[in-house]
Amino acid sequence: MKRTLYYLIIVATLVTSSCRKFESQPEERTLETDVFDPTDKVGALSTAYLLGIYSFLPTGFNRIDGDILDAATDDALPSSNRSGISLFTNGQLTAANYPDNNWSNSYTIIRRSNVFLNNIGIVPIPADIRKRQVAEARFLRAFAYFELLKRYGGVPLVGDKVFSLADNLDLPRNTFAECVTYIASECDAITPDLPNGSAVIAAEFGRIPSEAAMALKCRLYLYAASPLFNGGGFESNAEVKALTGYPTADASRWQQVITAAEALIAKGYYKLPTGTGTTVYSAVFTTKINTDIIFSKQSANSTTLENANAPVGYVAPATSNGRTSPTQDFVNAFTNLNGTAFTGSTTSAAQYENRDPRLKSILFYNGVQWLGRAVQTYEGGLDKPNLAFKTQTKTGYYMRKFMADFASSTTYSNQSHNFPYFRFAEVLLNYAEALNEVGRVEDAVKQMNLVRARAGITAGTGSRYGIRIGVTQDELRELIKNERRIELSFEEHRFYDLRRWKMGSVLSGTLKGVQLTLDGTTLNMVNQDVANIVFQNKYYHMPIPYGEIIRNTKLIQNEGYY
Amino acid sequence: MKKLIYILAILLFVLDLSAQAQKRQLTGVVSDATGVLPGVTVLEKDNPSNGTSTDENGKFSLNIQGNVIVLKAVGYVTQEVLVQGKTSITIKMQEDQTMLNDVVIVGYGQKKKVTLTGSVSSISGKDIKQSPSPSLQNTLAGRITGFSSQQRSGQPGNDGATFNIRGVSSYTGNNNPLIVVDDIEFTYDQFASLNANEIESISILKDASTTAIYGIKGANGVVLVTTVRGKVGKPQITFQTEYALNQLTRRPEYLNAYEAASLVNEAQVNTNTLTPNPNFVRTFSDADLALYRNGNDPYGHPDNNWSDILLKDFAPQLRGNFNITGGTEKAKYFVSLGYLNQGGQLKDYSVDLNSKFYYKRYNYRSNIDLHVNKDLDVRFDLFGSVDETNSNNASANSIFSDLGRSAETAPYNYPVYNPDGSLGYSSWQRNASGRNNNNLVGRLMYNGYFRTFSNNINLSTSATQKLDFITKGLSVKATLAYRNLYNYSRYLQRPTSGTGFISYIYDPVAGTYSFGQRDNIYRLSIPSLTYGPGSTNSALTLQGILNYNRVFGDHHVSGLFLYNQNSKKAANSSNIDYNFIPENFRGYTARVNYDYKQKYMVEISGAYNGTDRFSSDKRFGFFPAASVGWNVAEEKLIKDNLKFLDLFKLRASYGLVGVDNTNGVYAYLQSYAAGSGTGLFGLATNNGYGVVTEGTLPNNEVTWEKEKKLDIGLDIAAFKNRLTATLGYFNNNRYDILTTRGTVSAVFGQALPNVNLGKTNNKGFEAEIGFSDKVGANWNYMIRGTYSLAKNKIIFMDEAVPLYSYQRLTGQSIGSVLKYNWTGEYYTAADIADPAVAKPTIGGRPGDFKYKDLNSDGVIDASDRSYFGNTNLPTTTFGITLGGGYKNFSLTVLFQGATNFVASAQGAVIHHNASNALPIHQQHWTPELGNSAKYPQLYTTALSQSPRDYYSDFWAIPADYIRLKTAELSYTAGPKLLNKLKVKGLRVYTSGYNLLTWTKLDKLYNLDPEVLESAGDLPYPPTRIFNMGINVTF
Repeated sequence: MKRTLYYLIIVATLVTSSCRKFESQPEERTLETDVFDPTDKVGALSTAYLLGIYSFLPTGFNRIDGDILDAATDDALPSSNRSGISLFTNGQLTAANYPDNNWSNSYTIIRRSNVFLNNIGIVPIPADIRKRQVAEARFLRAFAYFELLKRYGGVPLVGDKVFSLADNLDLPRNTFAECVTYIASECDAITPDLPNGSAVIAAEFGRIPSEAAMALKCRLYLYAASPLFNGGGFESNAEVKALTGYPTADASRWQQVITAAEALIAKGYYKLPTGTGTTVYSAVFTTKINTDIIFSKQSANSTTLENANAPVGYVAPATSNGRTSPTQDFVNAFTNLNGTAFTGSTTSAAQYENRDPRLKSILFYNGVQWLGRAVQTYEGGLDKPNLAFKTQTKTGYYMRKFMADFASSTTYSNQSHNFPYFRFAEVLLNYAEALNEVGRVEDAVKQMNLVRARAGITAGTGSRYGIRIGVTQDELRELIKNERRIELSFEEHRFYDLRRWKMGSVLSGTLKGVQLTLDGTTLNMVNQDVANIVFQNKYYHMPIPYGEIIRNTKLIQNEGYY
Repeated sequence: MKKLIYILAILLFVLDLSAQAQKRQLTGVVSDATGVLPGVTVLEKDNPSNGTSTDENGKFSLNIQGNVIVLKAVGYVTQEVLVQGKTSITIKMQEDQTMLNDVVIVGYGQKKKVTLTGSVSSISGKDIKQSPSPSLQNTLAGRITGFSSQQRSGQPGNDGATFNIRGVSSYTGNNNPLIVVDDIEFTYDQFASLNANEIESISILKDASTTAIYGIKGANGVVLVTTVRGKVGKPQITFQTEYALNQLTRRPEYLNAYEAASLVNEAQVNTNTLTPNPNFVRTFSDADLALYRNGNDPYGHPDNNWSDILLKDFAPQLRGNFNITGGTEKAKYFVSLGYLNQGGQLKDYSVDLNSKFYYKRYNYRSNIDLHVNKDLDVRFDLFGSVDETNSNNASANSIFSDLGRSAETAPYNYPVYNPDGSLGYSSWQRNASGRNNNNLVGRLMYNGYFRTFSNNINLSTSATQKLDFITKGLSVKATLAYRNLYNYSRYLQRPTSGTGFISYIYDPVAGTYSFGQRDNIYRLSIPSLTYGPGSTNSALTLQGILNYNRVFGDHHVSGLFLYNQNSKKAANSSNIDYNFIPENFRGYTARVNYDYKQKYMVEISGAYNGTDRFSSDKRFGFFPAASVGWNVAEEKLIKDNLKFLDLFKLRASYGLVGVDNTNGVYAYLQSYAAGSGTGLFGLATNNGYGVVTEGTLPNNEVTWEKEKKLDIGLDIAAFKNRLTATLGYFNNNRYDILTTRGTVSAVFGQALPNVNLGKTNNKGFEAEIGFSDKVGANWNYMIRGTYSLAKNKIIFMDEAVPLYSYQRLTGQSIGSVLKYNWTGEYYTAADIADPAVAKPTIGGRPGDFKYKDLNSDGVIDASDRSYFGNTNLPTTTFGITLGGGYKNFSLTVLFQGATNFVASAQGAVIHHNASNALPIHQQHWTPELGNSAKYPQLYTTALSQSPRDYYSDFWAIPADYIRLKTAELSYTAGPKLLNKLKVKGLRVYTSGYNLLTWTKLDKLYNLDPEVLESAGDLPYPPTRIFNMGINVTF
């Protein structure tokens, strides 16, 4: 009996003592010391860390509740009756429901970049690679700040700080001026360290070239010089006004745009690709590598864009949802083929002929051939079937931009859809706008006409592309605005351009579309009001997200929001 | 290995039988006041290892050498009877009126009910078996206090309710009670699949004094299961077989084609009136409607009742069980085999691949007790289950979800079969957006199945050695247990996208057929097989217990000291980095009890334990508890004056218990997540570059959630124990709840780790009152009521102060949801025209809900939502059991209910834009009906009527219910019949589950009241079970 007990005790001791050691922690984890490894000469994981930051860049296209940002402008409206994008135009935007809140995402990029910058020093990669990678991280950070700046105005600048939980995060906003200075100085600092566009190898296309930093600075200065930010804010409170723009106007700020643009153009690699007309313009968006695209969001070839925006009658390979309905107002903005303003009838199919060739690249209208048939946007047509429960165009138009031609196929297929952040054409238009503002009107005409020429507008006598001799500064300003509207359509420019130009009135009123009815074999076209949109001055700036305002007591909300 | 163990056990048993010496035979009959008593243990006093127990007729037969036998039975006074010179004897047992010997199972032991100072509810296996539901937790609702459950689904193999003990305390972590079966920790799946026939009793441990010994695992309460063990006696073989019919508690019922199409038209007309379009055409013309109504065009204008097409009236359920129990004092055994086949509610359309819902389960158990010598006992338990669950691949979501959706199963969608017998389809269905699934019956015929298998094996051995040679009353027990749950899946399927099989659109006018849902598909596709290798969830447990139990005159002292270690391994689906890393637990537990004359009792217990999921200096914690009891009924003054009082025990306990809510991950460590996504650069479509991202920050300080539990109780027994009552009050303060800080700005730039900072309070009251009596010789009856109340409140959660105080979650109950406040009114056309009336940001329309403008800014938006009303978790649950018996018949019914909670649904369950047309939709708003409408105006878009985007108290309505949860009528054969049939026992019974339900939810929903809040898809409703069974013992 006692013996049994001893056995039990012995067994128990053996069993328990053999299990004494806990496995203290999972050894297969990747640690910060693995990512930034002082022995790794190729920097395998540190490079992977840097590339991981790219994935936080905004995605573009149908990113706001399934709709494109431009559906919150006078260019288009959402086909769906219930989409978050409507909040921008129905007067109901609040800090709590702001659907394009990029706050947390931007600060995620900033933190990750800072982690990289603070740690890359110990990784023994070659100095030139380190220099380039550091510059990339700083670019991503500066780009994230610009994304915040254009929405909210000045935001807290955190420098190279990587916060820990013990840090005080009740940070006040920096002023607009401080943010502009910071972003510009970052761009200047990294420009020499980044490879030129010509030096970025094809396999690494999508990594940041030197010109991207220059283009960012160019756009930053363009915004800073524009009426809204250049002392033109509506704020009654001086402190808030300084947060959302320069308190006082200074016309010389335009010169900075000119300098930035000229530096970029002088590099010579980026230029408008050769050729003119519809196909050439379309190819900019479906060819991954071309000299117009300075920096874009990389994505795998897909049909996502077609699924979202193609006319609803095309069901292969999957249902097309026709989410974007461009307006008649937008159609009217396209010039005639010779570059003069369109003044013809908007109730006839003839209006689509002899127009700016980009029209056919940017829009679907009734009768356009696509995937082996004509688009039918007349009432009851394949692409406007008026079925219950089905989303369809509200204006008689669908967005076509970014889609491939697919003229010869019957079904659309995977296609490159990199969303362009910076294009050479934009730089030219920034340049033209600034030249015009400083009074160099004819220089501006020359730059703008480069874009018009590529579009396929006929040169006309003296290669004026429809611009009259002796055009005034005010006239040209409107022409440049119109050119930006067309050339950079659906690339998330119009939304911010209208704001920086203080053209809120454009965002108030009635938007128009066409309605086509088939009477036997003849089509009757009428214009109809499709939407009422409203605008208030507070919408010149976006509201700082409600969740941030209540978390950080030092944050001052933009005027008009709670 | 398994086989070898069996052989060993059987050998031991046989050896023992042959060792019996020559003795004289004594036979006898044991009875009590009402009749013969089966199951009484009969022992020889001088040789307690020689014993048997009485059979169904109260008879026993024992070979004895000595002259005194001892008779023991639970609930009866133990008797010693002199049998000198007798060969047969009749003995009458006295009922033990004092309950002195009633015991309850507590952690690592058992305690006498009279000296228990903690809060424990228990239920016997016999009561559990009255319920025919296959999932064990479903049998407990309403029977015991402090236990509340919600059965969300009736899908075979997946119908176990979620449950908790005394409500919930954590708003982030899990609130699942710890499940312990025969002192070994179990998983929820294992618990649900236990066979009720294997269960002796279930105890629910609720307060600190009973749960503190589980340390970092006990704060959510403990469910303690004890399994049946062998009883001394000749082998008793029991066969039980049951056949049941399952029926949905709520069968989905929808309007017919004419009614549904009319409502679609109405919605379109209403929408068009808002911004009139002269070219507007309704989807259904008057001619269409006429055809739907008169049914003259069954192919062009079908009228399908999809509920009837898809659902059976009844589904069968078959249960069988086979037990053998018996043995001697030397070796006892209980061997059980169980079989369950639960059928589903779907009609069987399978052609070559089985698309039926079913659940098959085999349970096995072999519990062996060996009394090796007078000081050493060995237990050897081997048990487990093997099961198979099948469901169809007909739908991407579930077939019930499809049944709710008008996009899938509108009554007018397509003819199921064409005149030539082929599968039908319609161009209407094909062209509408979101309706591109092929013929649903075809999908059931050809699309195949999801089938999962699981195999659960458990082995538990223990040895108890008496250490009386050291000091009397001391013993040591060692336990080694291994559990292993392995599952895998096999899917044999054709694509759900509709390319699997062919359907045709029939044109009744031309009499022609064209392609159905897909063009260019000419044949059935070849099914594809997907094999899911599944994973193992295993744990090894090792325990050593030192027990002490001794009486010194009036003083009774007992205690235990326990060493416990446990190592779990499982797959981790949310973080593959943690796959199969052992989660190690280790701890020491001690408990000391003292009572004086069973009048004053004190218990002190505590656990010191920890897990390696915390950083090394934070691993171990100490969880003490103390409790006291005072049985006032034993005081002389009371004993002399209030003689009817048998027990009047005041008790109180207070202590600290923990719960480890890290979900098995190392929250104190950070890792960089490699390879989560690839960077895309270059020309190629998928020119991937590896990426690494920073993981969630670590929290070195992470530790368990803790709870201070106060419990005050009163146990009463009176009138010779015919009346019993237990009252209890508890107040639990949970703190250190793992919470993501809500006041840190996103400027931080990274996901924040959880930190221990949350606080909640959960308090309540429980009462259980029972009365049972006999009337004459033939009648008996009992009534028992249970009532449990638990209310919780969030005290602190580091919430950023919201702009409007009514949006503050702190101070609200766990699970509170922001809702709009519906005024009870709808907008009239005049309201819409009046700019002074607050309207939703997305526009208001006549007949839309009018909400309260809480911030008075003239606009209804997200700021007008507030926390109010009840949550989906009932605060109050109750049950009433009524039982009666006449001679051999007995009837027991249990009514169970819950109040103070809400339920709701959205989308395809209730809203007319997504759901099939329901009768409630016909009672929609019209200018004439005004505020007496039962449903808002019909429009083709939901806007501010949307139950998802504008969740309000119109949708979240009280779901208070009372239901006839179980009922059982049984007939137990008497001795005469048994003799005639030559069997030892016979019982025939019929029972039911969820038989009748009355609920306030009916006001809006045709749903079972236990539904999840805001269900967006129709769930598989819980079922009602009608069961018949027979139980024969040989």
